[in-house]
Amino acid sequence: MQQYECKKVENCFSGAHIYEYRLTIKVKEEFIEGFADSSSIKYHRNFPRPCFQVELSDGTTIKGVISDTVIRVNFPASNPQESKANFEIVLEDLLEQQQTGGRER
Amino acid sequence: MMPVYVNNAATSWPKAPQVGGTVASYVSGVPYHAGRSGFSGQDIPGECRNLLADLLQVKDPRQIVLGANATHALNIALHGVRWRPGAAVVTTAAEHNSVLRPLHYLSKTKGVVVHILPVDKQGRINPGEWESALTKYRPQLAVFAHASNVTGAVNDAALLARLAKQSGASTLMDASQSLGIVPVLPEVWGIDLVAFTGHKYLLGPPGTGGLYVAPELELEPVWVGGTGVQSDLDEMPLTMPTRFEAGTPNDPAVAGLSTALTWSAKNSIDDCALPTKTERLVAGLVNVGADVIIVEPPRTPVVSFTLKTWALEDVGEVLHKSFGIVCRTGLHCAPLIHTYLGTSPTGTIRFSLSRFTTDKDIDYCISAIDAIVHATV
Repeated sequence: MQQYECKKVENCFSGAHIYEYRLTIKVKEEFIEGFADSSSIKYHRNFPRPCFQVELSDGTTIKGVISDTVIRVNFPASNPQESKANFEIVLEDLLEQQQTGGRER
Repeated sequence: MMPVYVNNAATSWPKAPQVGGTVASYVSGVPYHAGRSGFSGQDIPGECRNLLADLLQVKDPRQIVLGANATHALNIALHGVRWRPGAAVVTTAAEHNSVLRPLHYLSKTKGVVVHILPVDKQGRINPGEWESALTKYRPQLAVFAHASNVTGAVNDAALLARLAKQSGASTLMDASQSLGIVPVLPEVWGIDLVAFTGHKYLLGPPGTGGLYVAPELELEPVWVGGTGVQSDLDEMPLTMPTRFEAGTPNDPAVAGLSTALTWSAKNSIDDCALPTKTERLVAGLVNVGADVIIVEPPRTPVVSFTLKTWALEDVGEVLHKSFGIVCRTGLHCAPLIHTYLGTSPTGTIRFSLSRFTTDKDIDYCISAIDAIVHATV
C-alpha cells in the first residue's frame, strides 16, 4: 500500500524543489526521532501546535507540526531528484516502523 | 483553531456582509443581461458601474470597464495603447508583476523601452526622481502603483500624474492596494487609466475588477469577441464600455461586488481606525524584536518585516500551522522593490489588516512573533 501521497508545491522562487507529503499516519515525536542519526532537529514544543524542522546531511529539510498528516520537504538545488529518492527510502522505512509500532501498542 | 487572517493585501476576508449570499442568488437565479439580446431585466454591470463611479467620482460610469481582476485591467490598458515606434515607459521598482511582466513582454515584442525607477526605503516614489525621468525619457506612458503591496506606502498620485501630464505622458495607475481604503480620484487628479480589483479592499468576490478609461484617451481593445449588441459589426463596437468587454460578464460576482460597494457606502471607514490598528501592529512587532519596514503616513494597513534568526518561509509555515495565522511571506509578486527595502533576495513577512481585524487579532499576531523570535529549541 502506498504510504504517502506526494505533490510538488511552489513558492516565490522558480528554482525551489518543495514537495508536500500526505502521510497515512499523524506525525508524532517518534517520527522526528527517526531522523536523529543523520540530521539536526529543531523542535518547538511550546508553540500552540508543536512544530519541527529536520535538516538532513545532504541539505534536505523536513518541516511539519505534530499530529498533522502533512510534512513539507525542501530538497537542495544541487541534486534534488537524488535527494528526493533517498528521502523517500528513509520515509518509507520510518512509516513502516511507525505503523508496526502502532499496531504493537 | 479559528484562523487569524492578516492577508488582506492578497484578498480580503471576511468579505462585506451578504456578498456570498448575493453571488449564490445570482448563480442560482434566472440570468438576465440587460442591454444584451434585448432582455429588459436588471442591469447588473450597470448598477455596479454606477456604484464604482460614485466611489471614483467619475462623471460617466460608462468609462469604467468591468473585468476579471486588476491584472486583466492592466493588460487591457498596457496592450491597448497605440505604441509609437521606439516608445518609452517610465515605471517604478515598486510595481507588481501584473505591471512588470506585461511591460517586459511589450519590451520583447514591440520594442517598448521600459525605464524602471528606484523607490525609497519605504517603497515610495521620489517625485523629484520621477520628474527627472519624465523629462529625460519623454515616455508615452507613465505607470505607477498608488500604494505598495509590500510596504503600504501611498504615493502622491495627484502630483505624480500632474508631472507625467506636464511631460506629455499618459498615465496608468494601479489602484489594487488602495481603492476602498484610500481616496482614488482619477478625474480630479487627471489620471488617464486606473486599474483596480474588487476582491481586496472593496471587499467583493474574486473575479471582479476594472479599468477606468479617460474619455479622451485612445485605447485599442485587446479582447475581441461577442458583446451581445451590435453583432452585425465585424469589429468591436466603439461605444463604451462595450468596446472593452467582450464575452459573457461574470454577473454573479459583479452583483456581489455591488453588494460590497453598497455596504461600504453605508458603513464608511473610520479614518482613524485603520491607521491606529496599523500603528499598534508596528509598535508591537518592533517591541518584540522584528525588523519592521517603517513607513510614514499616508499608508495602507500593510506591514512588512523580517526576523534575524528565522528564514521567512519557515516563519510563514510556523505562523500558519502552529499559530493559525494566515499571512504571506516572500516577494509578494513585487520582485524589484526588495532591492530598495534591503529585503532582497528572500523578501518579507507581510501582515495586512482590514477594517474587520480586531485589536485581539493584532495582539495575537504580535505574541506569535514574540514566541517565534524568542523560541528555544
